[in-house]
Amino acid sequence: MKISAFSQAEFAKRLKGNGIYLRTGPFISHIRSSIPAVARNIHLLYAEHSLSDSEDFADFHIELFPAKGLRRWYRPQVIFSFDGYKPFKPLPLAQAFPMFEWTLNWCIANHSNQYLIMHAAAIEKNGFAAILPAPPGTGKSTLCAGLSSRGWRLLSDELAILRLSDMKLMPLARPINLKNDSINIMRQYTPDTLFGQVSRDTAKGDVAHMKPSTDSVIRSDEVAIPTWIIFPKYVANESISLLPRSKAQTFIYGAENSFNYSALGLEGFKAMEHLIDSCHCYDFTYSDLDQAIEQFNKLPVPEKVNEQ
Amino acid sequence: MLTSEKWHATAGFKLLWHTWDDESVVYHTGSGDTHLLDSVAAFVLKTLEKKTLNIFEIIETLSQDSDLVTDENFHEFISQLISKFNRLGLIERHSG
Repeated sequence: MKISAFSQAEFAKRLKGNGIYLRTGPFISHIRSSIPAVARNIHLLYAEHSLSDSEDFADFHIELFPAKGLRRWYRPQVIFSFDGYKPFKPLPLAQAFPMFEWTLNWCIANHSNQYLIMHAAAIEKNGFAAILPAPPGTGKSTLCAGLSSRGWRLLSDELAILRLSDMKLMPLARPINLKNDSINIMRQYTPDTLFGQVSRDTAKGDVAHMKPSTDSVIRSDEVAIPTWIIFPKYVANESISLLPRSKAQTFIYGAENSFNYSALGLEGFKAMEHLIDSCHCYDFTYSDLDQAIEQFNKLPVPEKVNEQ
Repeated sequence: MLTSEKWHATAGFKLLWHTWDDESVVYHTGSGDTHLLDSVAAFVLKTLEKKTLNIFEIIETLSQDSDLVTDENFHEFISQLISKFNRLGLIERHSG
């Protein structure tokens, strides 16, 4: 059953009670929260996502609840609990939904060693995927959001998930995390898309989440072939450029920006080797989103696509 | 470091290589670490996988295989490279 089948009040009641079993890509998360903003944002931004038919199993058991005692009145806080364990310090209550998103990323990134998981966005077209690894502030999420609003399917805006059994990228279509100026840029660029409320003054500045396209969510079981690894960088007034990048250096960057490369040991090396060897690697500079998307639409595709 | 000391790849562990153009990555099965090497560093480490050599012998092998100028600076460069490999556990002193 889709979340949109519930009214907001019904959904909030369910989330507060026994919780929901939310399907996101290959994962099922059992989520409980009594915080209205968490219920409201999940109901809005995950409307097309399905709840699991069975409530017997979840990969992660997550709870977000308000701090008790004086913190109910003085600078209220939100506490995150994972399997009953509280790994993080509380955050201001106003940041409850961003905390849900960050901690769900944390759950997946740190507890899923059947995959090689990199800190990167990933998008797909015609079965072929581009991985966009980049440090914060380089325009990765903005570009990912722009591409996903113009015909590319969102796989993930934070976690590129490589399945070790067949080296395919797994979809994990969830709300896109936009920061600061990117929020208004994307509101104007894709005015029909829904956005969650803005959380001010988080550790990452102002944060808002953009709803993933219905197509991205519906096709959550459709894996993609990793084909390009592209390091985007937004530079104001700079000409667009797409330049080949050292594969060996891309390997090392990928390893250092993976959550579990070291934990996977030899398997991680072999997976990264396969990934780098089979992908075109580029540095990409852009200043105009339309031009950037046009460039992505011209990326060289493997020959087998041309044969089709 | 004594120039007469001989070196070889750390015994008991494999190195797994992949080379693209003039750069290589190497995975050390002992430490689980992956390193990025340029062509000279990769040549030296691959040589020490097969042979036990001192610095002079390493430079001699390099000069036979390339047109590198093996002057005093190059000796210092190789000496530092050997120290670094040793610190990373990629090679060890020959105990024989």
